[in-house]
Amino acid sequence: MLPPAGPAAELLRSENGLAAIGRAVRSVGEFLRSSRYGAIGLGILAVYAVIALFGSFLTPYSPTQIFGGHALAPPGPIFKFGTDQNGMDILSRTIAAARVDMGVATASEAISVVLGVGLGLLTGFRRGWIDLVILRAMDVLQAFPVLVLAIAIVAATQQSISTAIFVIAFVDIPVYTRLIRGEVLLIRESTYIMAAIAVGNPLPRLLARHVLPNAVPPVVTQVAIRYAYAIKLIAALAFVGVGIHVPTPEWGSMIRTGTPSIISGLWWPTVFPGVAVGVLILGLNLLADGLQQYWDPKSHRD
Amino acid sequence: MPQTTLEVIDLVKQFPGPNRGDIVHALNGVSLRIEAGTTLGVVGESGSGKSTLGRCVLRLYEPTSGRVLLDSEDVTAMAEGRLRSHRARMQMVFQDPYASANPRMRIGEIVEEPLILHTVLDRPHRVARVIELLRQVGLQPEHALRHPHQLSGGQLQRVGIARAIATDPALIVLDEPTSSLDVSVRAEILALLRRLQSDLGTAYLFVSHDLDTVRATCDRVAVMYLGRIVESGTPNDLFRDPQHPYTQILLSATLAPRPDDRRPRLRARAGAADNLYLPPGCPFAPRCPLAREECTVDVPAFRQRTASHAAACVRMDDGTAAVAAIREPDNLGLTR
Amino acid sequence: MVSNNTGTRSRTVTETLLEVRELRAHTTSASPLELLNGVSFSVARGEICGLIGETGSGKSLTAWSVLGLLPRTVRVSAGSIRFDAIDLLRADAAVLEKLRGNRVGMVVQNPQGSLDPMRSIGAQLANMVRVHRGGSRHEADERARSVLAAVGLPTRVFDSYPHQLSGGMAQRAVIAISLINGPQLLIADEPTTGLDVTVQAEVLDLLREAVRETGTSVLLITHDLGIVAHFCDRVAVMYAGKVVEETAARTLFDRPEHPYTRALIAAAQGEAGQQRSLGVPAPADRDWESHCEYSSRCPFAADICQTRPPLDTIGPAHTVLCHRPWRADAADDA
Repeated sequence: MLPPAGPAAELLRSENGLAAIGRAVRSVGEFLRSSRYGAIGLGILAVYAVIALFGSFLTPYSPTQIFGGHALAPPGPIFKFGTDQNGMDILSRTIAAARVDMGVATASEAISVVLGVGLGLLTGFRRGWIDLVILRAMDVLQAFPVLVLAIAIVAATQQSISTAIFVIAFVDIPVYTRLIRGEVLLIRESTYIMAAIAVGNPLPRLLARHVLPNAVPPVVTQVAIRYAYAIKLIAALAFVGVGIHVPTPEWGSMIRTGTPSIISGLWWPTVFPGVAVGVLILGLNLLADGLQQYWDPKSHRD
Repeated sequence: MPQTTLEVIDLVKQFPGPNRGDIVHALNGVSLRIEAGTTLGVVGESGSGKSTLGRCVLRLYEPTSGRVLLDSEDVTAMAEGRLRSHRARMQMVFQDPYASANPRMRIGEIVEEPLILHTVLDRPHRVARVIELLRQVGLQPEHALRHPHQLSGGQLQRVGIARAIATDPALIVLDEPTSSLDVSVRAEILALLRRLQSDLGTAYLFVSHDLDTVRATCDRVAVMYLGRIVESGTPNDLFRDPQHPYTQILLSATLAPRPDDRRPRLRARAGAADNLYLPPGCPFAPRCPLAREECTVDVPAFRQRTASHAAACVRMDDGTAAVAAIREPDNLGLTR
Repeated sequence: MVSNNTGTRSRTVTETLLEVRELRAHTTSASPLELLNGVSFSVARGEICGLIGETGSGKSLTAWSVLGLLPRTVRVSAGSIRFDAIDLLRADAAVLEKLRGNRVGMVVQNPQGSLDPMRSIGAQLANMVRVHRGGSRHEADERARSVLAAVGLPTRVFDSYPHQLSGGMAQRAVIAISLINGPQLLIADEPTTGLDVTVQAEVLDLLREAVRETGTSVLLITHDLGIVAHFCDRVAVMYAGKVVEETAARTLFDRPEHPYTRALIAAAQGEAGQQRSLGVPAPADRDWESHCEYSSRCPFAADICQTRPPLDTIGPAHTVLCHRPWRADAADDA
């Protein structure tokens, strides 16, 4: 029984990996066309990603190099963004900080998404005592003021970047758990889930093929938003001396160390890293908006 | 000798009610039988339990007690693994085609899924079968690439039917398959279902609230009220010679699209059908205009009117099971 | 003066209560789509007129536009709606407000949706009275109670809240609210869809009684031909944004003229039609000026159907929008 050409062949082709990649690329293109803000957001994120990855080739000087005698130099031909009170080039530090900040944020979001989605699926689908225990644990996590939690963990462990990663991850796990749980609770009442069960789906496949794809879109948009919070949180943590400290360049600590100088009218140590953070967060939020719009299945133009 | 595809024995289903300790008695002992290649219509209003019946038969809801036999195998006693693979033999078509289709799946994937789950066909063969199924239900192969929201209600319901027949099941439960569809599309879908039944020999359990739809499509009809079957027979039996007072009232209220088909209006006594607090005796007794004292004591047994036609009403014994037509209502007292 | 059921008399001006002429409505988007392509029909005093059509025909939009209650995304672009002597499309908001709930009542499909969940039924009824008729609270309450009884609701409903009522009772409450000020016209948009058959019968009985007693006209939007057969005096059949046939209900079933009407009735009576199931043309693709929109589905389509279909008067008060209505062809096709 040979399959006829045409749509059948198309369907067949759509299974293999290359076609999947092709489809993904086309989806991105479609997304870019569908939302101008989303496209801008994605563009901004792409630029930042490039900077984070290839920053070391872009910095004019080493980010930790101290230029004695040039402390707090205003922006000029030698130091495009000026220098901070230690004499380190702000432009280089701002660029290099991208890798640090985005690295931590990405790592922590990845952890919390995986754990949060997993827990959310569990509590959404299997009710009972597991549900209760996990939810209360989430409550506890969310009840802690983040900075206090961070300091407590730091006091108990080594002060390091991974501490910051885990702290931020912990903070966000309850968010994703509840989000997915809410979606799953809604979805499991759907008729199409009953139809999927009637057709004979076992639970794992039901979750993977029917529940998750419909529960995930709100999560992805939430990721974009939480990423922004993560960046702010890294900065806040650095602000209280947790996670990252001098001389590692990090936007938050740069802002912190530069703040005392503002009063004297020395704006560049704080403004440049501040703008860097701000633009990234703006881009992320634009991307989140665009994704939310794009993922409404009713707006598909095939 | 026609073989019995489905046999339901004394099916009971209870749900927890809104308040603690409340029990919703959705099904209160339903028994029925469907022969291979025939259609049994189950008719009732809200609260009758007809949808619950369909779902319990497929074990989408777990019955509280009773048995369901599909081709003589006890579905209610099956373990989960066995049940899942057995689902290839019993499928469902849902009322709202848009709600019962995963909005993120393409049509081809939706129809392919039962094949993935229940057959050992490889991809090319599955795809070929999907195309063939789509053609069988009157769709074009191009539709396989679309998403549910891009199809009309009628087209999407055909997809639901294609999905249901994919594994050539012995039984299909149709839960109000045409109620959400436009009038002009209904007839086509019903014709399609009839044709498929004669081609494939599938038994249908056709749940509906509309007696007219059921009249044309079903070989036998059962009327349900508050979780029980109150009357069953051929459509002719029920339409020409309804025995149970509820059937008569239901018939009189059904508006046929024929101005000449004027039925005298018969009315039930006021009150709502409430399956939280089930009264003893006949479920219809509180609203029945012919109720007698004995009606509230025991649930009436079925009495055969003819070989094919039975109803559960004590008044059949003395032949007084006819509900009188009401007069035209009086002045309502509305003024400008 | 109540018109009788046959609709064989042509109507004079004083008998017409509502007249819709060439009503057109567009979406307000950048590239506007025409949703109503010139709808014309009329409702006489004391008459129950059914507006029947399928999804996409524009029947609900037509009903909403009478009271100026179109959604923000749709706007009337041409045509006229005359209620009594008033041009509703050119009337200002104050005039429309005084009409709504007073001389024109409305009942929609989902009763719970049109009831204020925070107020008791009695309060909502009394409010209707006082807003339009004034009077003391006591008088309004009395009127409310009597109307509740008239629609067959028990007295306790006066103090009940919407969520405490079943679907059928809620719909009766909505009808009570719409009738309490004795309107001349009641617009009912699928008032019984979703209700049980026996409940539907009682709601329709109620409406019919109210109509008979007060001479209220009803514009009933529905897709159910059973309701049309047993409840309506006249019917207008809508397809793709236009009325394709308008006549007495009896005549519609006895002598349907438009192929779409014939197909609809055949389908409702259980016979699968010969038409392909293509669905109603989307607003973006319609052009009634250049051809008949039904021709692509019509088993009787001919070349002439690729021109603008004429509005023919087939019989007294029976109009059809078709090049080849049934009776005209009976001689040819026999």
